[in-house]
Amino acid sequence: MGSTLFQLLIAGVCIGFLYSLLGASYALFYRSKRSINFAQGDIAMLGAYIAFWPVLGAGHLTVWTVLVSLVVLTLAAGAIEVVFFRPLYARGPLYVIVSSIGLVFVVQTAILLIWGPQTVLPKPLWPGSIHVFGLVLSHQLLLLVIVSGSLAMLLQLAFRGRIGIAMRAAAENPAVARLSGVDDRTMATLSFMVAAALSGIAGILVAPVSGMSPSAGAALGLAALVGAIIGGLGNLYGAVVGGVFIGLVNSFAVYYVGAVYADVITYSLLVIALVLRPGGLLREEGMVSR
Amino acid sequence: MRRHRIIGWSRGALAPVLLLAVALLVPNLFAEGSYSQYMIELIGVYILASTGLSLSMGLAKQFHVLQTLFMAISAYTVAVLADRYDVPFSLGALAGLAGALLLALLSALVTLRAQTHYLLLATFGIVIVGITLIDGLDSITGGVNGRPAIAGIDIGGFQASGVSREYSLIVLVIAALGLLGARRIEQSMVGNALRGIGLDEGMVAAQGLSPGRYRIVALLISALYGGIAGVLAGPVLGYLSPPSFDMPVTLLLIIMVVIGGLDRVYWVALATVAVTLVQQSAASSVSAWPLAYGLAVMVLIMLPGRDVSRWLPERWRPRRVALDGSSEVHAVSSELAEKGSVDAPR
Repeated sequence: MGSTLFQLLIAGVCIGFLYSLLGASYALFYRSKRSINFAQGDIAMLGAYIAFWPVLGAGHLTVWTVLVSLVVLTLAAGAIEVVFFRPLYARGPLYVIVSSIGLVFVVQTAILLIWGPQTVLPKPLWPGSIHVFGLVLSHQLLLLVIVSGSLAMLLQLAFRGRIGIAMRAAAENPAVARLSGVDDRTMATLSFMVAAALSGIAGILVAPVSGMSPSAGAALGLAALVGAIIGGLGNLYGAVVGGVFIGLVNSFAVYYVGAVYADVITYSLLVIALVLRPGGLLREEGMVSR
Repeated sequence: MRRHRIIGWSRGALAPVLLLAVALLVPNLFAEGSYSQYMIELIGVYILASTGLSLSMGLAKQFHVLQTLFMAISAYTVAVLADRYDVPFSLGALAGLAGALLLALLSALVTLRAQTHYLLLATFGIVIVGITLIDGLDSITGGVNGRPAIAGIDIGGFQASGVSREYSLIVLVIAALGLLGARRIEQSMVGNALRGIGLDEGMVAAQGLSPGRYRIVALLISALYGGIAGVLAGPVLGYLSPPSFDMPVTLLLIIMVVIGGLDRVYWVALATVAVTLVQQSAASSVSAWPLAYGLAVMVLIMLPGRDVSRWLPERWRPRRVALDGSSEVHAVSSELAEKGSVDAPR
């Protein structure tokens, strides 16, 4: 019993860190434009497909392949933001949300047409495993925790600086930000591109664990979004806390009530969080309360 | 005092009549069991669903994604009651509507504090919970495999099965009545209060009305239309399964409302006809239609005017006394004041 609980705990924390990284990408875009890109999970899956494409079936991923795939993904995301999202910012966050749901269809179908509908399980980036208190923990999961945690923390530190302040200023009052020399449009594009890169990394990390399929990104992204909302949209620490929380809830719920009703619990938590504490567990620092 | 009219009746009231007349005058549309008949019924169902969403999303600015869940609740209720308990159609339909309204009431009470995209996200969570429950309760709903819907309707001995001449007419008449009803709601005191909470809740509160109560009313009206659409959808679809009511269908309805201009019910109905025709023909002929559909969503939502009426010459567009937001606030406020007992704003 004890070992089962420990196993669920470890699995929950590991997948929770992945949600944290994806949640940070939601937080980043929300921080700059007060809107949500629903396609974040699908962008993660697209990143994984691009990275593993040259080595599918044989061989391991190299650093160069990862870097090239992330550059391609980030540039494509930047182009999408400029062409499709930028004209909608003035109309409000809901137009961006609807457009991003359209992007979900585009990305999923593109993956389906290029790579097919089957689930692919690529080779792990870091093969092997270690034993922790009698449990077998794969190196891939360990890598996922280390990279996700480090990136989320690094991001938090980076956004305490000038870029973070500029981003918040652009989100709060674009006109005043522009008067202060901050280009709100560049800030939005920058945040969208960094968010895409983070999502791509998350996709590359999770692909060897849960496999790649055209629709896998959507489920991943939605769970991460729930975590980010519970933690407090726009707060990068909140994304980490919320992500780990949702990871744990999901892990225990799947074991005790089954995969189908685990989703009921996860999304009920979303509704409860939005009703009881719309700002999340941790509110965004430096924001003007409305 | 001069009466401010937000939307004129003159040309608009003829639209549903024209819709019916055009459908009746084209004989091929009613060839028994034809694809065009299926399309007419589907369009009628979607017009009802998008009209309800337009009143809630466009008029009251209550952005939610519950519409297809309302449809699912009523469609499944009618089918389960008829199949398991031999409940007559009329009673089953009432139970289905009651189910949709109850869901709306509970959702409204739960999400009362949430606004704009928070409301959208909260209702998104409710939809996922609802669809997952439909998936999970397979002994009742058939789960992911689905279950047969009712084959047709039977009211006081009058019977009509899905995809038939009689059923197409019934669906069209109900859709036309739904449109007329929506116009009546728009121009009523309730409609002005709904428009008011969409523009400025403080103004509505200043008129002595409760914004919270009207937010609930907006969702109930949306559920009423969604519930009726769900009841009528059963015989058209023939088979009920979660994908018939899942997020892509919700997105389809949102696109219809956005392209139609949010709060202009006739234009939303016109957009519904166009989008349904395009979506159905693309889905049946192009394997990559979700890609084209997603791309179309992203492009259409960027159009400067957003709504189809802006593409028409000035004199053919729907008349509005107040075109800019502030004037509209003034006009709505005056209308509320006229119908209530509060002084109009100066």
